[in-house]
Amino acid sequence: MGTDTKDLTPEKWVDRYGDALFRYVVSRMRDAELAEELVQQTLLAALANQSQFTGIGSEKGWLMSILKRKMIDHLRSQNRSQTLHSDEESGDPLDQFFDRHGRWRQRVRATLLKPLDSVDRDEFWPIFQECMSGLPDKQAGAFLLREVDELTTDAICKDLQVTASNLWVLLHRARLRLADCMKKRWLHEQE
Amino acid sequence: MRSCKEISKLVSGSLDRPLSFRDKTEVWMHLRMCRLCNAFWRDLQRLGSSVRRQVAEQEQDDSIRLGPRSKERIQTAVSNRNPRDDIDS
Repeated sequence: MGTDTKDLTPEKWVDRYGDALFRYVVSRMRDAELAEELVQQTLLAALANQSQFTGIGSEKGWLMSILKRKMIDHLRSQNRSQTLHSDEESGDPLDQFFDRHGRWRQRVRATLLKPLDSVDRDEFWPIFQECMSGLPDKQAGAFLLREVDELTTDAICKDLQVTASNLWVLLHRARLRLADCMKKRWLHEQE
Repeated sequence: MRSCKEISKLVSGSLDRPLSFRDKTEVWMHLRMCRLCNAFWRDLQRLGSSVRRQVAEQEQDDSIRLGPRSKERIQTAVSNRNPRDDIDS
């Protein structure tokens, strides 16, 4: 009964993988209650879909992939901002940053020129979370999968069900907003 | 000549895919002259590395784990749904 055979051992999942699954969510979402909820959902979903385990890759890897999907679904289900569903926003969200000639707007320049590395380490995560929660759902998911999990474009496109060019738009917007938001929050905290 | 808006798209894109020789050259030349886009480029690198570092620190922290009661709760939920629950688990 090895972990790379088709023999799954559900009765041992909590003991073997529970902490690792939990830590995956907590390290990204910093929400223990949510993490527990997602771990439970993951194991129950895995239980119901054991036939989908191909045996290629480990039992742990398979559970992790289900967990990641659950986390993305959670991000998508959040009513994250006032803007329209998913990454459809009225008008071009880049208008906030660039004028009609494509130049950086005056009002973002001062913030832009302040370095992001001035954000204190301990302050970083709460500010990051706050700024993430202001992103439209798919942008947040795209950012985490690309920047933290370092998945390829193809893998993320499958997870989020978007095209490659959609994904690059999502990432561009997420990065612009996060960098700007974080510096603004940090500078405001300093006042 | 591309605008800063266009360049910012390429700068972001360069983190996810290789740019064409032409695009790479244009970005490089623009970054040499534009303080603002340079700042953006620096921000993107810093943002990614900071987030990755902070996540990695948490992932390596063994003290972050399910409490015993939580484990019990989840185990019960799994066992209740598992038709093959073995007696010696």
